[in-house]
Amino acid sequence: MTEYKYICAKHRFWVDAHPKDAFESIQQITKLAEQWLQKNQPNQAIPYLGTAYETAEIIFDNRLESPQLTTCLTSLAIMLAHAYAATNQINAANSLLKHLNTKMKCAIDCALGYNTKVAFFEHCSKAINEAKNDIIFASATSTVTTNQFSQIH
Amino acid sequence: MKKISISLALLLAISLSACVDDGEDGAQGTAGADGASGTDGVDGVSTFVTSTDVITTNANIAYAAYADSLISAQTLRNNIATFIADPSETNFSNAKQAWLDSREPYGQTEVYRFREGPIDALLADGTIGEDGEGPEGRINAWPLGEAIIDYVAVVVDGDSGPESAANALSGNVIANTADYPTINAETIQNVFEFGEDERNVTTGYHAIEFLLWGQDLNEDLSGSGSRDSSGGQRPVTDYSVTVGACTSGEVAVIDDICTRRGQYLLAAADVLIDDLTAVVEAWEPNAGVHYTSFVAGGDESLAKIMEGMGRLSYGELAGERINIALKTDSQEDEHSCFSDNTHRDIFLNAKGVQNSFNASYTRIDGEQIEGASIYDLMVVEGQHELANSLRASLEATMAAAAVIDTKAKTGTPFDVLIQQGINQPNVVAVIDALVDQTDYIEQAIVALGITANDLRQDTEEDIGG
Repeated sequence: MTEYKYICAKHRFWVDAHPKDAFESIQQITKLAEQWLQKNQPNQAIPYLGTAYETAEIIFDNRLESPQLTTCLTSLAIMLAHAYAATNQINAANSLLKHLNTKMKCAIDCALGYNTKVAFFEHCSKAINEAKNDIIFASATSTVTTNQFSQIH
Repeated sequence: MKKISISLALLLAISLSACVDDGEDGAQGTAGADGASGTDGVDGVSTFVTSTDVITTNANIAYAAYADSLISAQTLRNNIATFIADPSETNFSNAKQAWLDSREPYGQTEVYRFREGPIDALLADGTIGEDGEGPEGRINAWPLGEAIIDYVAVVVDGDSGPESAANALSGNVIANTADYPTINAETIQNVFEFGEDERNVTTGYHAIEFLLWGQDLNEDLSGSGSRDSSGGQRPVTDYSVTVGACTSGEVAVIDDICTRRGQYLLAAADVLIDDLTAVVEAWEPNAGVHYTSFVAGGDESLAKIMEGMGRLSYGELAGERINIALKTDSQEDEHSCFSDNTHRDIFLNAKGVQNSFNASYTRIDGEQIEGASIYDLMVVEGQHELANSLRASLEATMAAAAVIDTKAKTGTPFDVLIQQGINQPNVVAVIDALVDQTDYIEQAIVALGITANDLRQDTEEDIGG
């Protein structure tokens, strides 16, 4: 069973009961998160991204998935992972992307026979993997930079 | 028998689409909805969606999207006026955010181009002329002739500006007090496409964008080397009202320049509002000069919807807006190059095409507008498989565009992506998806028995595949 870090049980019940309203709320919350990201304040963005991501995940897990929701879920995971990485939470970033990728693989298995659906989920899965590589690369680059910085001093 | 087969087809369609559509002005059925010309529906879907239902919904969504563009442009204008009166950092940020917000509905209206609609063909006297005679250029043309407007770095990324030297003004409008003693809406429209050179763009969204962000020269303002994730870095002191504090970038200038820059910014917002107002009026339901004729246009109007979707997908978006920027690796060929908002342009343009197919649009206040869609019509016409394929191709494009969008939001904007040139898979994926959807749109045109102009006429480049 999925554990939720950013939303409480009460919120979860509300999402279960009102998926359409919840999806609209995701878009509002994401906008707030993006404003923090624009200001280069990932720490402030994380709670918003986390709430939006978990809300999207609940709707997805309730088998109310739609291409728009899946795209949104994927984007939120990538943004949240980047925000984690920017705040030195690399493990949390990798674990989140791995978690969602497992979910996408299940969705691909369930959609076998529906080529367009499979292609869609595969596209999302590819984006997640790419984000994982980006984060690993950025983290390695940052380590190199930090090391160089340390050597100078 | 025929009625039964249509109902079964529609039941299949709703199981696939999981949405409820009704025709504009259709009466609600007991368990379903009607098209305007339709009969009672069953299980939440009309049994008889006509092309007129689809066209009417399309026109109503066009009106809503342009009205939202106008509303958000008015909000932008208000924020600009507040900023000019009190040029604080907060007011500067608010004005920039208002510009970004204003692009959200407008980006979704671009699917109403390429179809002899008001945006491309509305004349000053309120009648509809031909494509190219309308206000689109004044509203959204790019690349901008930024050197005509204000100070610039002469070379960015190794490129000089788009302005023609032969038609160059002496100095820029803001600095040239001798030739342009006052700056107002008339002044900036008079220099639009100066010397009949279409590269001399001085009005519209991107003029405002330039005056808010300035050129994107990287954080170090060098304008060379690898691009970073920042947009333009225009300082707030470019609008200072404090005596002796006015700047043009890093250079101190006379106070009058800041005043004139503010006047230009406000004038550009006024021109934008005037142009958008004219377009909104032309689309006003049951009253607008274009709305009435478009809704009565039958198959010709249906063909225009499909043509707009296809031409935006292929030549304009995949070709001119993405492929050329990718091949030239030039910010000059990037749509919203000053603010680094090109990822949203791409996403929203693609979204507009999807909106047209699904007959669905979410207004800026959250209201959802839905109605009879091209998907419904194709199902009624027995083209279920093609309808599903086209829908899937539009979804694939949105997924690919979402990757670009997310990349930008996580620190890799479009101008950085294109630095990797044609080897950049995320950008190529969007182009390929747009080409795929154009193929399906062409097939849908044939399947619906309508005739449209060539969807691939707007770019000379080979794209996709």
